[in-house]
Amino acid sequence: MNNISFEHKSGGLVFSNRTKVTFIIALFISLTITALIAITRGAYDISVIAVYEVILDNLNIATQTNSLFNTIVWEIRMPRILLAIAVGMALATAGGVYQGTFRNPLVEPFILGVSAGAAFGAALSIVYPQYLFSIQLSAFMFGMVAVFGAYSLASVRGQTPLVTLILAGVILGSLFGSAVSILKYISTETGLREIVFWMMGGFYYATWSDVYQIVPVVTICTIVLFIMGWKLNVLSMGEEEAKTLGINTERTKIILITLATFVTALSVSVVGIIAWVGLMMPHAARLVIGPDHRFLLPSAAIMGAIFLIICDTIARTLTTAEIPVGIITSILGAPYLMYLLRTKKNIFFG
Amino acid sequence: MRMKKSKMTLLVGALVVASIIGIVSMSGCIDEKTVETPKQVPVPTPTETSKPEVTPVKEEAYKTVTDMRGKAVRIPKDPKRVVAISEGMVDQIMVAFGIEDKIVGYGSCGKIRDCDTSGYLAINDTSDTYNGSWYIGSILYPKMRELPYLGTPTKGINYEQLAELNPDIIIMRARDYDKNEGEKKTIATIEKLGFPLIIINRPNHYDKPDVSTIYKEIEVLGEIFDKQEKAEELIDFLDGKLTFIKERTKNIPESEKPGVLYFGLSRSARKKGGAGNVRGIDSIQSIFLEDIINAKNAYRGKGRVIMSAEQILALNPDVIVLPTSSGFHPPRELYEAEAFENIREVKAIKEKRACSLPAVGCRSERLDFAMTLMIEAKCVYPERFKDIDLNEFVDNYYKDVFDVSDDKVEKLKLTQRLRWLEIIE
Amino acid sequence: MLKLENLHFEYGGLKVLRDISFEVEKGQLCALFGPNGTGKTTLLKCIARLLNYEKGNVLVEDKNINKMKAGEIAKLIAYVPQEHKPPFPYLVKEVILMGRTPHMGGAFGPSKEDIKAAMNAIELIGIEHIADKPYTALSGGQRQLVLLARALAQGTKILLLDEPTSNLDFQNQIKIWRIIKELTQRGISALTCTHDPNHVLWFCDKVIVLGNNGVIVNGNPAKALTEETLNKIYGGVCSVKSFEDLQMVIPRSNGYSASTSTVEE
Repeated sequence: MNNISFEHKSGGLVFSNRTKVTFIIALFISLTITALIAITRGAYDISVIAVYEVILDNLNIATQTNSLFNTIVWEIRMPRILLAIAVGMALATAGGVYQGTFRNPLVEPFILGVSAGAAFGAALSIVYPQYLFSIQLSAFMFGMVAVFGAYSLASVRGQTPLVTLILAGVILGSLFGSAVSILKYISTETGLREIVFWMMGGFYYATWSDVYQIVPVVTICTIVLFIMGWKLNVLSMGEEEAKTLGINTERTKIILITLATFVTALSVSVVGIIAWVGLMMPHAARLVIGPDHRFLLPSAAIMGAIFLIICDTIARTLTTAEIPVGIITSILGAPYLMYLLRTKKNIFFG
Repeated sequence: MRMKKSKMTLLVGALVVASIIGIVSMSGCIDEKTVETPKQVPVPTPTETSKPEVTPVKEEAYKTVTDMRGKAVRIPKDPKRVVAISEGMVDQIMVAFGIEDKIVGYGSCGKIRDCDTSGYLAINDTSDTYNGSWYIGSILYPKMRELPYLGTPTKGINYEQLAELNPDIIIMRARDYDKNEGEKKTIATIEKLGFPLIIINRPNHYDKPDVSTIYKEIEVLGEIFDKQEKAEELIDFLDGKLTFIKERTKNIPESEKPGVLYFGLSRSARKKGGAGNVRGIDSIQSIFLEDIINAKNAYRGKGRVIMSAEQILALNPDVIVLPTSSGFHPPRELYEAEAFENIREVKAIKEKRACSLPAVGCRSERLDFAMTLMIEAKCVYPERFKDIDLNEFVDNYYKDVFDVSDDKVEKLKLTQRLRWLEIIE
Repeated sequence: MLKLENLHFEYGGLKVLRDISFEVEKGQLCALFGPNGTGKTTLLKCIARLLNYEKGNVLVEDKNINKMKAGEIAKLIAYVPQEHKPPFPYLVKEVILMGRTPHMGGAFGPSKEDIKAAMNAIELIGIEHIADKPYTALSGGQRQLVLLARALAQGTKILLLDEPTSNLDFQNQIKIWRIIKELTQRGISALTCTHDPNHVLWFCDKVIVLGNNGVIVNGNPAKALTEETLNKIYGGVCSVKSFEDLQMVIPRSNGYSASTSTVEE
């Protein structure tokens, strides 16, 4: 990101991105603070100091000896928070990328059928565990299959018109959706319950191994997507225009959609389907920081991370049992977006 | 070329879907809720009432029985062809009465057939495979496997097949006969077909579930089949077990009641550990726990919720009971498997006070409910039931209720996975 | 500067462009003229490589661009589409900066040179006063100017414009043509699609007239857009008159003349 401010003699015209960068730094600081607060909250009462002692202990800066505290803070809460950050970033970035690629601010990462495909993979693995051992792997694979299926279906002579792509995504989403229904029908009651619980989404199964699998991959992919921000800007003006400005639109689209789908499928395979984040966060970020994807995507990503940490913390502390996090994201999210829409309506509608 | 490529993809996709459907229909060993294809038989449509081919009989061949709806139903004095629609309760009672041969068809939560059911332990990847049915009815009355399976009351009964069986009487154990839409339709349609229908209610139909309704179910069946004496015997036997438990656990002060958690672990828990679903104070299991065993449900909320490892640590139950509705987990898994490391500090696990309940399939209170309660009681209050040897208890229970040979007893124990779940040796 | 040789384009079996050949010199404002449906826009898109033509060559400064990559072409040819309203409210200066994309090799966005080029373009077109506004909040005429500025910022020698004034009011039309004319006087070659014969007569150095069978006539507008030519394509509805030092096309009083013929097949 260039921090260039260029004053022009005749009009005070400025190409300054300083405020935007400052905003993103502020967001990052908020994220850190949110995470540090979130880790002290939980059903099991542990004092704030003890919580930080556990963290310092695990970073080999200090020591503490209470193994129960260690289990709770480091083995249970920490992976959840880290995963929430990763998934929030993944979904928000993917949402922003999809919105830019499809030139439609109402698109969300599940539009090409990845959630239906992942649900199918998970259900298949639940009903036939002897053939598919890992629910997560199966969910991920079929999530990707769904999107690539949509892409192949929509591709004609090397070009993929976006409207056709969306339609193909809808078709494949339906196909996999019906397949899930079939699987639900033939499964045992146990299996059925498991499928439903899986689809509702939640972080309650988060472990460090999930963190190791997801966080590095998501981080790399989202950074690559941030770097493609400028190209996405141009692409979002129109495909023909982008071509005349020298962008290989087909290749750019493939890379963008693949990466965005990849991180979405990863997230879905680990924590189930969490709606709203991928739609709302890029929206909200665009209303605040503008449509330049070089700043929009990182902002949306951090906002997504903060939002999901907050939602997950509420989900696990509001009552003595877990509330599915998707419910919290919708309850918190919709009014927030409504508020933003009302106050910044002119920028939103241009 | 490109055009062909996307058509290829479509073809591949269609093949994938088709093969899935193929697997589904061919595989025997998922508990399918399949409804058998109806045979082509002229059958009365629901709008016309019709009686099956029955020679006109004199009035004395009928009697009236009041079912648990309070409805007086006219049934043959000596029903010979019975269709049992329940999750096993009706056929179990009939086995206990010794009249299981009268069953000509059944409806249930799943078809009864032999399958490879495997149990898997997250310790050193241990596993075992058991080939048999999910439900002990298949052992008690093996012929059940060949009888037509008619479906479930909430999703749909194959009425044409039912009519073809020409039953004398249909006994249905309803979940919620006056509120559940599916069941209401089933009942209405069966009655339109003109067959005598007796409804008995599951305990959770009632606002406050109570064992007395289970006894009533047995009574009603006793009346239908003129086995009132056997019915009483059975009721006395069951109640005796419950009274026994109550006696031993009465007068326990509130402060000494352990907090018991019904912890349902799914298969995923083995990889992820620590989280599972928990039953609230409004569930039958909880009510029986508090009324009969005189303990406390550690979770004071309602319904069936998911709890994370931290929440369970915070709850810190004294005893954990593992129902099998989501998966088969012997307690040893909780104590030793890596997957459950996070909850090792829970009091119940630290003190090794976890136990599994027998596998009952389609979670439902049947005649084995007293056995389940005893196993639970021993788990909750081991000191007070020290003298109960579960091996003996289980053997005698099966024999007393169902009057079966030793050989069958072994099979029953296997079907209920008693050894795998470490309930008996 | 820009040379077409025997360009053929087919769409779904229908021959849209047949054997099109012409040249545009440096600093020339050349019009691509013809009634609707003759393939003006198609031809423009072929040159811009938005469409793939079956046969023929396009040369820029004598270099064949048939096989060049999009990035290379974008440094030689800039395409100004008709104004439109995209879904996202980029600021005008951001839109113009996008014109620098072919020069932005790295992934990190515009450099100082890019910003300078954008500034120059803004100044040249004279839109400093709207540079900080959202593109989507402008009027149609303003948006067209922005697109022109963007193409200018692209720093190419050739501009292709697709009916840049079709949706604008009279004042804006004149304004845009004047600016394009000025740009060509600075050495840029412009090829503009238009279906307004007056614009051709008033502003363009050269005109390529397209009919259903290819190029009908090619040359200086005053000489090429005669009444005879116009009759061929318009079927006798107008005549060409001189006024001061301008030619003008006006409708004929009776609308039809016995000596006209219908458009050739």
